[in-house]
Amino acid sequence: MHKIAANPVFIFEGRRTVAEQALASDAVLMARTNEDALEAAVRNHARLVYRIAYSVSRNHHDAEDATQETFVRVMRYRRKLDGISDPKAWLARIAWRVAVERSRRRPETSLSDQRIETMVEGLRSRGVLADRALQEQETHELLSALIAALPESLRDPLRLSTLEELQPREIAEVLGTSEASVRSRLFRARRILKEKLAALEGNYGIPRSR
Amino acid sequence: MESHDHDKDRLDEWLDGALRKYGDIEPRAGIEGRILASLVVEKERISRSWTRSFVLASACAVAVIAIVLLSSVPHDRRQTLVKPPSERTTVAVVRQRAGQQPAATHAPRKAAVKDRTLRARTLEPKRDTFPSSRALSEQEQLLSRYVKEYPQEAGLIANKQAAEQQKVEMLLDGRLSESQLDQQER
Repeated sequence: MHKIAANPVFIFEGRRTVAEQALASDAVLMARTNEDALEAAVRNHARLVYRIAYSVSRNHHDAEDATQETFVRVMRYRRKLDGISDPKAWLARIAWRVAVERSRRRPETSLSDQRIETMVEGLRSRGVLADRALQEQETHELLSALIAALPESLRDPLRLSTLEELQPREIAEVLGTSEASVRSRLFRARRILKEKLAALEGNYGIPRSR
Repeated sequence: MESHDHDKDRLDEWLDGALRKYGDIEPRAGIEGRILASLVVEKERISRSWTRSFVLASACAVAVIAIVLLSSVPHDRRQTLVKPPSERTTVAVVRQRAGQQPAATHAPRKAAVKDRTLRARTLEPKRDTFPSSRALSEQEQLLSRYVKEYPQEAGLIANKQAAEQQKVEMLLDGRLSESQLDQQER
């Protein structure tokens, strides 16, 4: 079996998407008129903007509203589009700020540690479930709760790292920090998650560590 | 030890998969079209807002210009524009326009009259006829005919008016008291 590299952060660098390769043509797109550039930005990056918004709101309706608000702001500054070297990072930054502003207006209800422990205990007591889909759903909810309970400095880079379109360098640009800081925060966030998941080892497909 | 590392790697692998699913979200189909449609609506809204602002600004500018123009019209000319000509016309004025020596107007302030007279004598040459911006009214024409036909009577009336005006000036100046004025009129 292929041995995974010791540093789990490198796992994210191996991903490439079709959208990223389309970025090579963005320089050509930027040479068009402002309206064409705006439409091109929507068609090429609406999905990424939506996924960034969803990573914050965890709600489809809010995510789409945030996506529309992002492109409305981009429209106001469309004259700048031609002069931007990396439109993806620029859009991602705006999308992140819009999503965070909207989430602050509607504060996220994060679960308390007690509530998380209760969820974990409930899953353990039920043992192996016959319904795999339900098991995956509950595990997904638990993971969402664990991520939401992380400190903001660790939660934000982790959420952005789950988007295959963004590399650590681009995450650093969105968050306004260094790439080294992003890598460090990702490492610490994963370590906390693994510690909390240790209680479910052996169940729900979570491998034992001992 | 190798088993421990192997399990750790499995946990990392499991976590990678779980995080991948956590971030694997797709928008509803047609999101690009909905966004472009909303941008068109927003653009129209901004355009309407600019039009309303422009109309409002233009109306304000017109109002300001009108106020400035009205305020630039001199006060006495405004009064001239307001009062009918008949109230301002006197024999002295008619004689002045007919080429007679200038006479004081009806009850001006002492300092203003002196200034006006001094200015008239020092700044501008004496004219034979006083320039008028408009033609004589009917009443003024009648008075002009009266002055031409009865110059002596018109002169007496004008002198009487000038004397009265002088008394008023002296009264205002303090050179003449009311009691002295009463004695002169008896």
